Amino acid sequence: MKKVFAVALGILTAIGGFVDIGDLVTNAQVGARFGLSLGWVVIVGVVGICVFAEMSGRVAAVSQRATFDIVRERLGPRMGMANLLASMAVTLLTFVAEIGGVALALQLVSSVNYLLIVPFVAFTVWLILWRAKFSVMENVLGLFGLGLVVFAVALWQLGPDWGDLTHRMMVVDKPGDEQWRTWAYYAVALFGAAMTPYEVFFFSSGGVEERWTTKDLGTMRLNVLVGFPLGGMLSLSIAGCAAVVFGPIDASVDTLGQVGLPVAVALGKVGLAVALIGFVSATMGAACECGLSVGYSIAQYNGWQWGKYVRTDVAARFHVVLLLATLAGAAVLLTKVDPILVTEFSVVFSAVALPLTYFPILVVANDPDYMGKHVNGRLANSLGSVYLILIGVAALAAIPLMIVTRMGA
Amino acid sequence: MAALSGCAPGTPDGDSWRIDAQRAVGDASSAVLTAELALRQHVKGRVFDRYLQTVLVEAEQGVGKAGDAISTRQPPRAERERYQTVTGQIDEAASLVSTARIAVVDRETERYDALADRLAKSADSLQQLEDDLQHPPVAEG
Repeated sequence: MKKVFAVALGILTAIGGFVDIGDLVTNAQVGARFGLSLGWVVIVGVVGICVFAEMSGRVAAVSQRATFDIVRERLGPRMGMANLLASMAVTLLTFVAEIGGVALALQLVSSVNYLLIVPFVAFTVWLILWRAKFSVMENVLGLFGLGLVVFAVALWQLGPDWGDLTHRMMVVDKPGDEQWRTWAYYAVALFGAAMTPYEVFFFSSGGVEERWTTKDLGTMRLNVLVGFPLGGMLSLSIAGCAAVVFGPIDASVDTLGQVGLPVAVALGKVGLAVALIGFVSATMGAACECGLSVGYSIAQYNGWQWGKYVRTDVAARFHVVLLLATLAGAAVLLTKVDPILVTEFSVVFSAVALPLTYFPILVVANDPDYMGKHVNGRLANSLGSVYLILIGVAALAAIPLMIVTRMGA
Repeated sequence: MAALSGCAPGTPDGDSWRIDAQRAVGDASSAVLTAELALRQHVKGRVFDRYLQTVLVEAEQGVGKAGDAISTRQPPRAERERYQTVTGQIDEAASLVSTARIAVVDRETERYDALADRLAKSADSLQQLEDDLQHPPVAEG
């Protein structure tokens, strides 16, 4: 019974933890402009994150060592440093976006300007990272993040033409008034949002924190293979809601307030209240995961003591990194940079950094010295190789598309 | 020359200006439509006061940004008339969204319906203008 509860809890937190500010904003933007015609990208992205999260989770469970630690050892300091810099830059950018996302969500509740809320959010994030137990942080925020399920209910209540919605998802097409290059830009952004590197680092480092062994492989796989796809369904629901409400009136989505409006249209104040709880929890959870991922990455690369299960005075350098990253995130937002713009940048640069993040994971998961009999099988290798090609294409196309389309204008 | 070009805004060609104008008008129209949608949902009791207020403030900022984006672009000679129309309509929309925001902050709920109607008309005009901007100006005489 305890085991079943652990599995269920893991799956629920994976669902709630999958959606972050990047998914919220990008899916709603895309839904309003393209309907569900880019829904297949979310599906491709979810399969990709499942492939690499399973690999990195397996590495953690088998070796009881975190990804960065092994990447540096297996591929040498130069490749390790490239991996560290690429993923760190994107994770820091995502961290800034998530802190901004929490502040924007709280602004919707309080109508207090988000800039006044940012220091409070940063302090709370730091406090959680410093004091809260890992399991409490993950489970509480993950479960409240499940409030976003309200988007699926809202979509049902809005009563769209399901045949038309699913048909659009199955064919590669775009609305007549959009250009293919803009379509391609948003495809890359959605892919980047679904495969954000911090999710994999957090997942594998969390596995080490929770002392996974090979006995936990089944639970880990269930979390990944059920939790992430259901999280992907939430992303599609957000896009679907925006498509139904904003598509017909030809309005674009540029703010978090707009993202929640379809829920109000469908379910009124109760639905909106649940969505707001989901916004705050999902972005707060993601902020904590990003913050920890920054600390994990640097500490693991440098061979420092790290983790929330280690006493703070023993892992002092790890906690200093967490504090500095949080201060830096708040400082960037206090320059009045638009958090939504930061979010848009973070999902695009996430796509750019994907190869440097995921290639080393594939190499390590293929190494029998580390993995023994749990080395990648044919299926994992085939999927991993196909995804490396997709990731490479997305990484090469991201910046040129961003420039040519002026960020999807 | 470099100093001069650094100080004065360059004149974009007609196509480039029209794309920018379309984008600005489209952004303004989206913000106005969002304000209208939020007001109507509040009238139906589906949105919290503070949520509505935030959405209106964001809509006001959105229209303001759209206006700034196009008003600082030097219009080509052939587009000067439409430049006035574009900036004029965006200014009107901005003023209307501000009026709605003021009513929302002051909780003048009895005005929401009428304001939503006015926002809908403003959004219609902006969408027509956006369509019009897809084509070069009609040559005179």
